[in-house]
Amino acid sequence: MCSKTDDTDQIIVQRFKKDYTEQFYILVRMHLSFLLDLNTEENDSVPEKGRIKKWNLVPFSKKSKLRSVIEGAPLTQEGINQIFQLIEFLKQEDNIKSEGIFRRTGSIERQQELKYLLNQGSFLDLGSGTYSVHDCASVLKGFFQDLPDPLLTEVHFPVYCQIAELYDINISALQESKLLEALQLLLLLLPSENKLLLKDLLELLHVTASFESHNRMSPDNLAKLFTPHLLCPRNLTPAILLKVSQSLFSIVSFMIMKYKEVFKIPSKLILDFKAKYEKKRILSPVRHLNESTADVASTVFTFVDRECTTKENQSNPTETALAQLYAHIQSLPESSKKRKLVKQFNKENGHGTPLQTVKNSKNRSIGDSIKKHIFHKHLARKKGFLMKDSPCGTSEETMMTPRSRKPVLLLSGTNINALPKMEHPNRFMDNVTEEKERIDSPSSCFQVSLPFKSKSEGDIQRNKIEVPKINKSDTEAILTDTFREYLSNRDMITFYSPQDSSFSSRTDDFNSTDLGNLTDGQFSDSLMYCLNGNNPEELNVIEEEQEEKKLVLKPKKFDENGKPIMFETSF
Amino acid sequence: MASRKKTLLKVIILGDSSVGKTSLMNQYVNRKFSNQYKATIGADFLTKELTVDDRTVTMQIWDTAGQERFQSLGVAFYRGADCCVLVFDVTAPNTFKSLDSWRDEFLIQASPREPENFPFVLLGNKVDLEPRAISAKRAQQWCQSKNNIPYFETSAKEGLNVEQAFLAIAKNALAQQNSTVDLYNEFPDQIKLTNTQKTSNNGDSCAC
Repeated sequence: MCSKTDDTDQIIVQRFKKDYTEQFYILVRMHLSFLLDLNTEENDSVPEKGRIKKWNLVPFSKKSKLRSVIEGAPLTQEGINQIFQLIEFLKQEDNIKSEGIFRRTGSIERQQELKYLLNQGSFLDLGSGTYSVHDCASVLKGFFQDLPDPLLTEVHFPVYCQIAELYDINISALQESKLLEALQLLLLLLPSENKLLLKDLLELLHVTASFESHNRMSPDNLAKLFTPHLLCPRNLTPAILLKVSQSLFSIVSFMIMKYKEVFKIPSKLILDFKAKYEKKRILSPVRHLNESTADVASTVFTFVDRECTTKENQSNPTETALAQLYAHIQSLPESSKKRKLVKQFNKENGHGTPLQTVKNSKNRSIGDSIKKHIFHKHLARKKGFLMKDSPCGTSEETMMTPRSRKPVLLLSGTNINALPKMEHPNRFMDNVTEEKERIDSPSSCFQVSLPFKSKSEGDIQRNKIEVPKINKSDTEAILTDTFREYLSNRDMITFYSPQDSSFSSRTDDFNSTDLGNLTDGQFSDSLMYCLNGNNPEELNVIEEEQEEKKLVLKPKKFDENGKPIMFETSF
Repeated sequence: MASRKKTLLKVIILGDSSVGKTSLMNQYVNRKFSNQYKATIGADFLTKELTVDDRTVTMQIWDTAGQERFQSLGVAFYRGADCCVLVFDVTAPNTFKSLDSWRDEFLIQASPREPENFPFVLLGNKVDLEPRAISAKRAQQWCQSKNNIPYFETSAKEGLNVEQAFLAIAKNALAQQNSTVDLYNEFPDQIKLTNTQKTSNNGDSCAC
């Protein structure tokens, strides 16, 4: 019935749900929110028992009834077992072919008798013919009707309404696949008893519909009968119930037709689950997927992988993902929800989001906001800071990225966090003029290991003298930039890209750890040669004159590859 | 003396599922019978103009779903009805047995001023089908016990007796309208503070 991959998918889901219950719900809901415009706060309560329990407060009319296994009581395993007898009986081919099965009423007296027996928890001899097919079908239907919380749960009801609004299976295959995925995810969020029973019921209805030529019950027909029972909250007013039933029955009909598919797991979700396990496996190399992955053991292996961290910092996936998320929020239609999201976003990022984008959140398109952003930047420059316009400066702006607290960042000139630091370039400029006459030494480049503020004039001079074609904006930029430029001119570093130029813009974040990474991952051996105190030959001439003032970097510590990771500095 | 002159007659069709309510209405209004087997969601109505005793009236026929869950729709749709049509399937005894509960349900929910005099009409449908489970005699006996409700045996499929039945329905509704008392209270929704009897509001309106 199920292919092998489906089985493994199911196993993974079961395992994941067991191992990371919370993350399971978060992930499923996240995937669901990709498909739907969900109000996450409202949906947060989905797996919580508390809310479901609230609806177990049966209305007064039902409360007076005898407490029993199946009638009006919340779903229990016992009740399901009893109900399963009916399902099995109805599934028999002779029975399922009965015209109008589930639609016709049958004898009310016999149904009450049957209900009574089911409530007693007794085994039913349905084959004896005491009860007709319609009696059993009606009792089964009545069972779903009497559930205080509909089988598909009341908390999911608004989601189903939204699905019905968004997706029309008649429009396109794409819509159909999205509808299917949304339903698959929703069913994953169901309590397991509900899910099991739903599976049985949908299968029964599917088989029923397959005998349409005999029983005249099409999936639509069956859906019309079951929609109010399975989906609709019990407290709907008649008028709303009518409206809702009309719009929702196509979903139930779809579920009947695709009863196998709706219980499959969306491939994207499986990927995420697998990724999670994969990650776990890397962190705890001893253990494998099939073994228990208890959290305790893995902590032993927790360490910082320099190689990985460097790589991570290079491509900066977090940053990119955040930028994408931010762009997505920006492109949302204007609404209070969007404002809320932006606010939340800012909060999570320590208010690192450029202030103006919040103000200008009315700008619908990302393009607009980028323009605005750049425009503001220009304004800011003209106003307060002696900075020269540079194409390089704007190229750094390409991403409207919210700034995380990570040290490596793309920086925007108007970024409020960065504004105070703008004085540095100013000071540079002064320094440049003051010390024009000075001849600098290439080795002063090694100041990179010092805090940014301390010394920079040497590099600026170097730029002026040796790399005149470099845009002046580079002088306003950062030390390492210049440094890199210089190095790349000597073919020491082969890569150079705008992204890299913005690499260490936030100088105060540029700490020794980063330097270590930098040295480790990015610098060529020839550079290391330089760093080890040997000067490039061609610079020797200028160097001599600066000998006394020169900053000397001596490697202090070496990593396993023999590369220095710490330096001793001296003048 | 008619206290309310209106030419619109509201007629409600009630009965178990699959007795042929929708088919009867379609046969009468559109003169069509569809072999489709479609459940009705909630309720729907069709209108038909007809002449009764040289008077043109518009009949608004409300077709309701036989499904249990939709019975709570009653309050919304029963009120203001001028006549109630009860339908059963002559080949299905159960549909005949539930007539009582349909009638009671209607009277409770529509709450006409004089329940015992409210015009009902009984239709035994599907007389074209064999075997018959409910004889005409049995149906008529039931009608007599309910203050002489008119009874018609119809076949929506063959259009048998449908026209006559609905004409009788219209006449009954008109007669009721022309009688001296209003069918319903002036302010049917008035709240009686002393009224302890709960208007079977199906208990679902509880605020929790």
